[in-house]
Amino acid sequence: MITEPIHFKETARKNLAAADLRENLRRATDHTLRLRQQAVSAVPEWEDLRAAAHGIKKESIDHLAGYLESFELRAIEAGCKIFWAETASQAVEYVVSVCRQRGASLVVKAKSMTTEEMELNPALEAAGIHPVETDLGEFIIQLAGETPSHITAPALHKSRTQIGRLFAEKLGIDFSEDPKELTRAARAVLREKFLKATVGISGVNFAVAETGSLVLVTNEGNGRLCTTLPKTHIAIMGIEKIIPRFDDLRVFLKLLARSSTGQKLTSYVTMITGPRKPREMDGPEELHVVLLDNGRSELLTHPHTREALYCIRCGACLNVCPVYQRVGGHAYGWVYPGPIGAVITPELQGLQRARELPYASSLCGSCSNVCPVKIDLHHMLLWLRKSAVEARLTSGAERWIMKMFVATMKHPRLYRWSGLLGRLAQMIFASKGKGLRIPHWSEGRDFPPLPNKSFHQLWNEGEVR
Amino acid sequence: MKIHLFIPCLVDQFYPGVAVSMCRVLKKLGVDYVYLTDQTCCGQPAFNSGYHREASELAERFLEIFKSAETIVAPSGSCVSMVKVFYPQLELSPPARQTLDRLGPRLFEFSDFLVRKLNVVDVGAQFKGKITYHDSCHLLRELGIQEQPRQLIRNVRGIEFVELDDMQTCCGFGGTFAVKFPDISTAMGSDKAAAIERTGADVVVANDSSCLMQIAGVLSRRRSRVVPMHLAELLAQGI
Amino acid sequence: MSGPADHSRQSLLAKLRRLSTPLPPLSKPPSKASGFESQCSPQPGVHEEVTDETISHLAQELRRLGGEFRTVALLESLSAAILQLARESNYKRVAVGSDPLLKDANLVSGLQNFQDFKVILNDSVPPPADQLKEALSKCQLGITGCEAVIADTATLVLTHGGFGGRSISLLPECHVVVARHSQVFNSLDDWMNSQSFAAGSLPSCTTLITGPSRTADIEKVLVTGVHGPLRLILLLVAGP
Repeated sequence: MITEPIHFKETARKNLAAADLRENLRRATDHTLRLRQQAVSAVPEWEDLRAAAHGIKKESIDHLAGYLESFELRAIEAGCKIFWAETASQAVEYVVSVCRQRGASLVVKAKSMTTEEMELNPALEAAGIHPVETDLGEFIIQLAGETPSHITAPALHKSRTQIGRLFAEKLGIDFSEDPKELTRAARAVLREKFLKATVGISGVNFAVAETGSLVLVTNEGNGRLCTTLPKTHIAIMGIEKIIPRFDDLRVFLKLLARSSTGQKLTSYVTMITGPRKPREMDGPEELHVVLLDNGRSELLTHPHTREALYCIRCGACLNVCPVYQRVGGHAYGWVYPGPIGAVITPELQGLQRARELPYASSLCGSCSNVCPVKIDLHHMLLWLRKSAVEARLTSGAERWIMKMFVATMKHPRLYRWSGLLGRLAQMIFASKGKGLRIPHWSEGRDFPPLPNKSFHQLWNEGEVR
Repeated sequence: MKIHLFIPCLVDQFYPGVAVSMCRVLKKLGVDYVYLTDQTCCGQPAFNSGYHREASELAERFLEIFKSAETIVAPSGSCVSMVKVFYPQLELSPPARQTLDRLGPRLFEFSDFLVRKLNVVDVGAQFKGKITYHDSCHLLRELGIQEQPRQLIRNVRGIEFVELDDMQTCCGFGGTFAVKFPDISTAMGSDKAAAIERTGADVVVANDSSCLMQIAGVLSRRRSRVVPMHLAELLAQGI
Repeated sequence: MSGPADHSRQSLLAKLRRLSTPLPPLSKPPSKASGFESQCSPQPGVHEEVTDETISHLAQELRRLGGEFRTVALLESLSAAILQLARESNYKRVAVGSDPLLKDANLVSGLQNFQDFKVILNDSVPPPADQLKEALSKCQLGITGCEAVIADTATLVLTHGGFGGRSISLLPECHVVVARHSQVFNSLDDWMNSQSFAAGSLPSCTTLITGPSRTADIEKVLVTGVHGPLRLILLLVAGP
């Protein structure tokens, strides 16, 4: 939960000035986009898949209560325990109490943005339970004491040198800049944790209403280890993760892997239906599923933004966003950055505190264009701007300027006078052949000079008839 | 054929040459045009900033002015998408909505009008030089216009056409975005300018004066030799 | 269910019911009940024939992903092939799953004849989970069968019954999957079409494995072998 206003503009400016950060961001987003593009262009039915996915998500969200109940029924039949949490704190309390009851002192976690949203780790620490992030990116972030800057590549803002130094300092290994060596070092440290931990916590990519199954999509294998070795598995999912049928997975699996990393299929797609069954040799003895609302149901009442609940967290809108590419994830102030964050942070955490976010976009529409479930992200930002204006969250100066602007544009004569006024100002203040210096514009670019005559004048003088 | 010119305020005040060029091309193709002198702004700056009520007032006004038009043509993808895509989201009076329903399909962006409505891909223009093209966001993603400008450019005699790296990436203008976040906007513009310079082109063409204002502003600050040009200006060369 | 938990369930569900359209009542089994008709997927059909080209694509795709593809002509030569593999890489500890295919190949006795490495397996008395994970994490080689092989994406479908369960394909350094030619499907769609995913019939865990574990979390440099196996080898048995 954020309590202070998010200062996007301020952080963005700082991040823009950090050359190494921009370099890291650029390298990562360019690379991922290139892979995505190759993977997508090899699928002729891509647009049909997007449309199908949008349709399935619409169906899921339209019938959210029904599908969740169906999921609950099937999951309980398969041996799961279900906990419904209206708020993050209810979910955190439940998870902590399960860990305590199992006497857990060490918990292994697979990457889950939902647990970031709940601020689960600090709560576990406070309860004397040590949570270990096992996704390599999250592990790096946890060692550095930071928060993720991307929803699928949490440490994308860091260079190999920074990571090498971090590992040398925190893990006591020799400094190395070799990603393979660093990865092996993390493997060795984390393998020990996997074998010791009594509770594993994971997120959920899809929850199948028809069968009560949970689907987890990971590349590193940490998701499999977290859901296999510990005696207790706690899966935490936002209520929007539901899909009606097992069969729907064929659509989403194709879209998710290609959109997020450019893979045809993610290395491991794990489909879990209940805890270990009597004749099986391993797997957790108990499986708890936490269904988290935390503001999501509120989005159902917002006709223009409810489709943000269709998001499958692939991260493509972040990678493609020219703003994200330059300012990075931390500027967005909460767990979800980029265009999807600019939509859901105001919706889940309040427009009041996140008022700058809907404006953090040039409205270029690239985000909506790549979204595998066709969320109309940039148009949602426009609706949020409208809400900001209606809630009087914009400055008095801006409201006045808009009023003056409209008043001018409503009267052709006033409009033309202001054109003349501009020309007069230019004659007085600008050097010959140059435009005026405009605050905020002219720091990095030149402002165009006004020509002697407007089109309107030329037309009236008969030059273009 | 007779059309109504929709000349966005930015073009009227800063880039009248774009509108004049468009008229010249239309005349060459035998299209009659009229200009309704009461037109001002379509309301996009207000709409994009979230001021729907203010934008509605300008939309009502725009629709009233153009209500009897048969065909409208504008040299701007952005302002055309304001009317076609975003006016429907505004609260409008019933008569204005009726006008909008009628006018929406009759409003064309310039390159789209030439290629799809007139079936013209060669206007007979001549220009010597290397040309690259920037896809304006609204033109490309709100209106889906991608090939039309390229077809027209390729048929200009004497040019060499070269595609730009990341041609579909935003130039960083984004209306009020350019002044609300000048540093991000300029960073985006600088990358765009660098990509343009990398092509070795003499001229960068785009279809929206707002993008060109951003691109020209950055190129000029970099003392670049690349000339920014609206498609209409290129097509008017040599005719 | 405790009091507060029940309360949050009731309260959240009531809110969601108010805000969403009800589904037709569920009947058992739900997979064919209304509300679950698939809207988007092709109808189940016969799976397309697998050609030599399919197999060579599979091999190519698996190698592209950093996996390895080997074939053996006959089931009888499987032991020899695995032995050779173990020797090449100096693997000393091997775990063998209890899949019927591996039994048919007499893999266990085939491997046990060799003194220089230790084979752990047993399908008769499963060890307790704690011992199993300790033992398996000391193995360099884990050998399993699979449900299906999907050629298009080089995906191996594993359900985790039998010896070693989920861990045998996860903890050892190298995972060898043995499959028969007849288990190969052209695409994910083909395989899904051939299955019925009804409630109650699913194992606790099914995994689609596409290449060895990997990451690109450090400067987008691809590293294979993160937490899962460092190597993934598909051994396709060509003959009967």
